[in-house]
Amino acid sequence: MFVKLFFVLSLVSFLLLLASLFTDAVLLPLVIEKTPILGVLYITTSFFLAFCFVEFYYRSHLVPFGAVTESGLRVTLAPEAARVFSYMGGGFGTDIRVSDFLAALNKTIFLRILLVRLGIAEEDFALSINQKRAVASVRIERLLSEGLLTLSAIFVFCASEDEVLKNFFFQREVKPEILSGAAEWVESEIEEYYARTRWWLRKNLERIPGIAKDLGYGYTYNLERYASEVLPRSTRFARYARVREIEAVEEALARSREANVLLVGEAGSGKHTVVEGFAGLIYEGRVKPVLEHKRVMMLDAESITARATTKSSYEGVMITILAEAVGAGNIILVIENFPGFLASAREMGADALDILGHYISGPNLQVIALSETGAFHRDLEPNGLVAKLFEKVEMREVESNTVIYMLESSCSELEAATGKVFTYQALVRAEDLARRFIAEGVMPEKAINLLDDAASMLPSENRLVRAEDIDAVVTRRTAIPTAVAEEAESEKLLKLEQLLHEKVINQEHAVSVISDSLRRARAGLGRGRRPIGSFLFLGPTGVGKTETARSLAEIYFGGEEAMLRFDMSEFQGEDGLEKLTGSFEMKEPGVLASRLRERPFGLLLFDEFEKSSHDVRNLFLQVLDEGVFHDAFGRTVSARETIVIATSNAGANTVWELLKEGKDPSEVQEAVIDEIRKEGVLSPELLNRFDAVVVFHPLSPEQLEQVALLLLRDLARQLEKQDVHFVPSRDLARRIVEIGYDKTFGARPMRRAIQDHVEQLIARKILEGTLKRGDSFSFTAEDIASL
Amino acid sequence: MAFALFFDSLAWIWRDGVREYARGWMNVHWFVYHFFSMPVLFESFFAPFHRLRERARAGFDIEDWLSVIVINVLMRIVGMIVRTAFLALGILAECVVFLLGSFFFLVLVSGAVFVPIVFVIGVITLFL
Repeated sequence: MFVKLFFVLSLVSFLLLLASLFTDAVLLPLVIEKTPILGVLYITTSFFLAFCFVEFYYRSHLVPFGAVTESGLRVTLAPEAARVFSYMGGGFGTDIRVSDFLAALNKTIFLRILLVRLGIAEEDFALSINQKRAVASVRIERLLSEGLLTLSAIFVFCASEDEVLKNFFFQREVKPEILSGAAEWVESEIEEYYARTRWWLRKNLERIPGIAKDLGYGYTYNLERYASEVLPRSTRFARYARVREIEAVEEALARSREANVLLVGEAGSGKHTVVEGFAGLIYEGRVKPVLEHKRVMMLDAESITARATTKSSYEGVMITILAEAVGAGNIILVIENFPGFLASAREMGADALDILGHYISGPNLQVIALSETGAFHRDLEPNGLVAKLFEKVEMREVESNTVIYMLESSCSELEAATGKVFTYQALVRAEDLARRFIAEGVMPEKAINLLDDAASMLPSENRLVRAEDIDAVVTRRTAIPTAVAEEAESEKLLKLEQLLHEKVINQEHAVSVISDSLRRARAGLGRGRRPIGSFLFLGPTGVGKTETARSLAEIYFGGEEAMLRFDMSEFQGEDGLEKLTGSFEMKEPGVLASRLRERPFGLLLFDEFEKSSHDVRNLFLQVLDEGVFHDAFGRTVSARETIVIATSNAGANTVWELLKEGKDPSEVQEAVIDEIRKEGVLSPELLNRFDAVVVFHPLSPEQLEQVALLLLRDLARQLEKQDVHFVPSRDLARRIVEIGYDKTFGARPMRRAIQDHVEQLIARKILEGTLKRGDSFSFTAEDIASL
Repeated sequence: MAFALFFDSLAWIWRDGVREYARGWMNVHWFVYHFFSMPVLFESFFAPFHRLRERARAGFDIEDWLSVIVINVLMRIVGMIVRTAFLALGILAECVVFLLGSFFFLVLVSGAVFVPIVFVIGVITLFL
């Protein structure tokens, strides 16, 4: 405050002095006059000039500068790094004394912001600075090479070499990549802040809008009835993600003739962000000279078709507004859903493309047409005139790293709006969860919304938004227990066999194959571009295929409700694919697409897979390979957070025969797969895409008894809820096997046998009053015989 | 330390500071040029005001021709007057930036001598 006041006063003095100099025209008489006021003006003016001098030096010299190491190597130090070395006092060497480095770092704002971004208390870190170290210095020779040496690079290197720092971050679960990302972010934040204070830089000046820009162009009264100006509403960070597309649009529009753009991308991929980003370039004056002062107008095509009822009136309106736009000379017209726009004109008998063609082939009017990918391929691609008039710009998928950078740049605006501060871990988590679990919307908006929601959910006394808060938001929105899914995954994978055997009897080989495949798919490779795991379960009915799938859903995803089951015999007709992915003509969503959008995290079970149509099986080539498919509306649907299980009875007879011959389970497995391949039940390329093909074996009488016991224990759990303690016995289980087992249907009818016989008897006892709340009972020999 | 900083700043001014100042000065000129939309005003200097113009009806009608010519010439004159006003403001602003820029440039390169001199003049004027 004092500095600002001093600056203003000295500036006023300077201006007064200038005025007095120019009014008297001669310097000398003023000096001779020696009035006290003039003396004060001179003194304060000298202060003002000194102030300007210091300000200019302070703001400008903080740019990278070269340094020479003790060994004579020339290195360019980034401003923050240079500042820390200047605090250290000594020269810049190849060895850094860690305690000196940390002490110097402690004086900088870099460290304070970094600790906040990592969610670590300053007091905690202060203790680690003064700790005794086994090795006092760190050699940074490996970092010294051509190019810029940043403070974040030096700090991360020290944290990886110095044991005290390494342990400090390890204990707080700050992984090296998190530390590195956060440090880079903080350093770039600080540099950006200093860059903003240098107001004379072109990038700061060009943000100030000018005046009188429209004087050289015409009025557009009629056009404005059917179009509105596109304003750069999308946030700066959203535009960063689409910088490549925005540049491509600018490049195409800057051509001399036929400079029109056809922006093609899936619904929700950010086509409007590109248009708004381009409008922002014009607004900020950063566009190519030929496009300066252009106005980007969004055409309301629906309003034209609603008012123009006949072909002639439609053509009349179009010609009026296009002629006016050409006359204005600075219009770029945006036409949303271009294929739909052409189709609605066609319904009235008008050829909108032909009319447009007359006006947009010259330099006075340009068009940015938007189209979804599917509609583009279907309606526009075959049209030669479209190819002639428009330059196609395709929307690309935004990569994870880019999204993180965008989230970083969005934070200042979000923090100003919400009054909360985001940790770097929260940003990484938001990107990860938004990509995996939020189906609707596009990146980075999805992730930004998560951050925004997390900030608003936070109690007012807590200012720091952490990764856990993002988990809570996603769980609230999608009902997916994300935190549980993450932390317990490795533990579950390690104990998968044991957990599965608690629920699945026998099938040692199958359980082992599934567990190995899942571990292989997940260990070390991170989240890939395929489903979590994909399996084809083969074998006779009633041997535990569905039960295994159900158990996997419970173990891996926390509940049976996470399993989506599809009877593939319903998808065997020609319309099978449409039922799954939706119908564009009928405007109906597909059952698989809708279920995955609602719940992108879970287990997909496709029963009797071999009965599905050829087209459906082809769809699975893509699902198993890439983890995604496109629905009928061209939207991408992800199955990357699911375990895909297909079951089939194919080869069941071979299993029976080979087991009768006493063959080894692995031999049976190979023989069954060979048979399926030879008979062409499933194509080899589809079989190869599953992580594992698992053959389930028929159960022996002892194993069936165990299955019956498991089923009876389920019943006991149900009765426990009514305060009735039921103890299943082996004899009862054996009797259930006798009643329920069927060679064709395996163990499946045993559940029905329990319902029909055991539950019936218990119900009768409860009604008769012989069995009451709090009673404990088991079936007697007579009870069992009577079943 | 303070002495070292002082000499470091002087060295910086004559080494990199002049270049940084020149770049900033040119940027301010560029800004003023674009702020007053001078490129578009120069380009369209003789164009009608907001491109408003009349077109003669088909066929030979001397009265119609003359009225169209008069209106179009008037539109161009109005356009020129308005543009001239903005261009004059822009040129004036460029001159001010040039003069102030030159003055501060001199102060920058001679600051080590000039600022103390101004201070001393002030003290002399005040007390002697």
